[in-house]
Amino acid sequence: MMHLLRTRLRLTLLLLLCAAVCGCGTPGSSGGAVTARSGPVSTGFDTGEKVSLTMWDDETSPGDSKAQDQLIHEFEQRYPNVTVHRVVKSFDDYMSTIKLAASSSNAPDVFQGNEGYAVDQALIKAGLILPLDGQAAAYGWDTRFGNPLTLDPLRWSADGATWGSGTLWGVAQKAEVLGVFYDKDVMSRLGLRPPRTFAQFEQTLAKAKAAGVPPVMVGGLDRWPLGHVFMVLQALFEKPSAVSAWAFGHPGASFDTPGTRKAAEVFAQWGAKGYFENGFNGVSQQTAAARFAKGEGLYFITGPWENQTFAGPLGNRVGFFPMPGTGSAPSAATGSLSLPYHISSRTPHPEVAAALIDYLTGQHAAKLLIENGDLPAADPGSAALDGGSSLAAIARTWRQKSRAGLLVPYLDWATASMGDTLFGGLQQLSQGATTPAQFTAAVQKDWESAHS
Amino acid sequence: MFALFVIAPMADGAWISLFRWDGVTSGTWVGLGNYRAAIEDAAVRTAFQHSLVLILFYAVLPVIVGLALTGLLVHSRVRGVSTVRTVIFLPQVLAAVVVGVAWRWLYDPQGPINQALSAVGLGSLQHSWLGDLSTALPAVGLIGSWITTGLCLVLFMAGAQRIPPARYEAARVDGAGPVREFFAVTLPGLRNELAVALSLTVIAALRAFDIIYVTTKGGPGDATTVPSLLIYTRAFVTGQVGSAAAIGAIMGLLILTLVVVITRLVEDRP
Amino acid sequence: MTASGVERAVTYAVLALFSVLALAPIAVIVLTAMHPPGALLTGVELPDSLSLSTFHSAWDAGGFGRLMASSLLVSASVVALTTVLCIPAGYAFGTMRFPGATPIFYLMLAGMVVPFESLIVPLYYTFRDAGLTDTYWALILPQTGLSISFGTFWMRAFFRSVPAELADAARVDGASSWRVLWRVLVPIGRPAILTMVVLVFMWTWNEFLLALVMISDQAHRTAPLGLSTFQSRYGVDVPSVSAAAVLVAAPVVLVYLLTQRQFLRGMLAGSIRG
Repeated sequence: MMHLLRTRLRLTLLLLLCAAVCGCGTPGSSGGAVTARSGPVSTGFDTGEKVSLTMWDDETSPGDSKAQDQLIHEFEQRYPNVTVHRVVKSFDDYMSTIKLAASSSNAPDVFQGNEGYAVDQALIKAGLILPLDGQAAAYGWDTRFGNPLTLDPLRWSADGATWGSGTLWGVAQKAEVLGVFYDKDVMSRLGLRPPRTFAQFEQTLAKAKAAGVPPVMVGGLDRWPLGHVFMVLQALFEKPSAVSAWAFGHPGASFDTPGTRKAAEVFAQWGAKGYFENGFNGVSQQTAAARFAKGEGLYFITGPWENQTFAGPLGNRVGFFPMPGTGSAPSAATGSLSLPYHISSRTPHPEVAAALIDYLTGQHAAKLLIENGDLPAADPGSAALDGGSSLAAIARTWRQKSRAGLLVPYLDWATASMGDTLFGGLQQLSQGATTPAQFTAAVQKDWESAHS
Repeated sequence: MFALFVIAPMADGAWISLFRWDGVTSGTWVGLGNYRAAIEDAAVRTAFQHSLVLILFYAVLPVIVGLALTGLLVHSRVRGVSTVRTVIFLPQVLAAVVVGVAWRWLYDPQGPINQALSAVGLGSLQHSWLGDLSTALPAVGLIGSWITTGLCLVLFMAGAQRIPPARYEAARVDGAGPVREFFAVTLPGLRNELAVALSLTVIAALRAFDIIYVTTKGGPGDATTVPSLLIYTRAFVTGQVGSAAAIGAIMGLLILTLVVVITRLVEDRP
Repeated sequence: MTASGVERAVTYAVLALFSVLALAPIAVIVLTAMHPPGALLTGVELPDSLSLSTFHSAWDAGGFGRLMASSLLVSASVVALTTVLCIPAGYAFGTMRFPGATPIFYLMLAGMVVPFESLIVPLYYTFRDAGLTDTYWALILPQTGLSISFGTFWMRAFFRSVPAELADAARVDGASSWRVLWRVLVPIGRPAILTMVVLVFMWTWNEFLLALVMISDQAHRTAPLGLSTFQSRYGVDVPSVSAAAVLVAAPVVLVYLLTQRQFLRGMLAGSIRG
């Protein structure tokens, strides 16, 4: 034993020596600052020079991925001197690698970040992405996405310290608003009609449960899906300005408020009353979605990205409505633009990168997305959004809520670790392992340790 | 080569663990602050407790099953033993992503396990195995047992074949029954194999990351959070690279100590 | 029935039980993959017909041909490098006494116990600075490094188990250490070496996190990485995902089944004096 101890001691010494010899400086200190490119930005670029761009995105669903490939192909046809290499990863894989990739010397020229402290703030603080105010003015991005407020989550101060106003750092291709998908056949079989108030909504849950139909399909195994259910509830019971202030990390904001606690109570009751599908915490979101698309449930609370999963097999049998409010006033809904596209500060071709982003987020791209059943960020005024389809209902919801300033941000934006804290907390709350008050207090504690 | 790609990153890791660093911007020197924070962190403590539970499933249970099977098979002259050995070892060779795909489906509330339970009239035992706070950790642990049992069996069977038959005969002359024979002859004869099996499975339990990452991602709540998962989350998701490196260093030392202790306790000295 | 007959029956029953436990999860996945793509299943259902069409469509949709080629290249390189480097290293640690042997050996052992997840970030920076991310080297070199730590440990155990007289006899005949190693010891060590080769092949083939971090470029992706992307893209389609999982697992299972007799024998040779 003594002999071994000595060996271990020597080993430790050797390690220390090694560290000293490697002479590592402060980690990350090699990160370059933004090379400020001042002056007006134009929309043109040299079309003679051969340019090769790398672009990263997380559009893995078959429809969206195909649309993305087509848009890139069209862009390359329009500018024959440009070649775009596209890299696609699933959301989890993407988020765990994007910051490392963006810091590399062969960083992707164009890539998606994620709103909030975990990704976008880190990118800005490390000087890895370019401010886009000039490009926004030149291409008209300021006004492309309806209410200018929708761009707020993409604005940060120049040093990345404060969020929600200031410089624009990215623009997005798609819009997201959380609401309720419902199966019209199941609803009429149960003798129900789409609810107009929250009280009616809860009655439909009770009736479905009594009839043995899973009221709300949700895949809790993946953690975040429960978060979206909770956010829809919180948007009803908490003031929109309070939700925004908290998610943006404004001083003095709190999660431990009567409105949010009320939302947590309703959420816990749904869990206790069995309104979520059987064993939901052990079901993956994809499995839950597949079962809803097979007609196994009444409601599915999520956003437009799942529209095609349901509308593909169910067609007009699937409908969508925003969660009805508790009073007569229109209710708020969780929603924002999708993951923003950024331009790397390392790219030698920022003008070409800007033109590519412009193409991906423009009117033509919007029409293509609609054909694939998804909701674009730019409003192309397409006739496809006027009918009675679920996508038309989603588009109407987006327009109403964004114009009226009734969109609230995703809560997991609030701190880098909020996804884990919030979603894990909801898994516990949904099984009655914690009380609503414990839940809101734990979430607030995470927020305070990050924003103190 | 080894020095370049294992020792250098380890040294780097040790160095990084002394900084507060998000992985992209410049780090701040905090000395041993990350270690202090890790030791005081309730999440880290919970994760290490879960590791202890996983040792039961990854190491203790497979070793017991492996020993029992070996005891049963050591004298029997039934055919097919080698086929069974091959089959039981098979889970060991599969990629974690593959295992994850299989077991997420097996454990699904409407999946094969619940279906089997209701088919044999035990419908009341149906469970949302990975979703229930009380069953998630054992459910994940059993996947580990499924993987490591074959390894234990292979090692023990091989070891048992090397025990001199004379010892068994001597035991029989003394009038030992099968049970006493197992404890008097087989078990002592397997000390070395036991040390190897325990070391390998305990390392597997403490380093368990893949299986959890592909099934529950640490949920529900923090019911299946383990140190490696914290390391991964902090290094890649929440931008606490220094803290991740500190937990990594603590874990490495802990595993090394445990392995040394196991080896010393079980292995007989020449 | 005689007493030994009962004992036999019990033994068979126990063997059967454990074989079923080990095989059932694999069988369920294979069975699921036999359903047509897109089928929604509840529990285990027998497909209407045993068809391999889902494997075919998953192979095409996931581009597994290319992914497998990448994986094969990386795994083969790691195996070759590890074997060439570990046999002499294990020989040195196992049979010779040289200054610093013990500390160096324990340092190598440390490579087996440090959680790999915490090494990946520093590794990424090293490779990024060398401009080697998105190349096969970024997978081959670190995995060879890690495998060496195991391989040396493994081969050392083997060389220590070989009776010293064997080498001595050869040396009396005038053979150099090097010659003794390759002409005398390696041939007897074939099972132990084979086992190491198979284990290293398995681990390299199955590695996921390193590949995820180091490789973004489609052309260099490995099979488990491809499976992860496939799963997120076609996750609602349980049969297709199952088929893809079976495809990714097939090469290692095949290698294992083809070599199992020697492999399991080698397990023992290498680990006797771990």
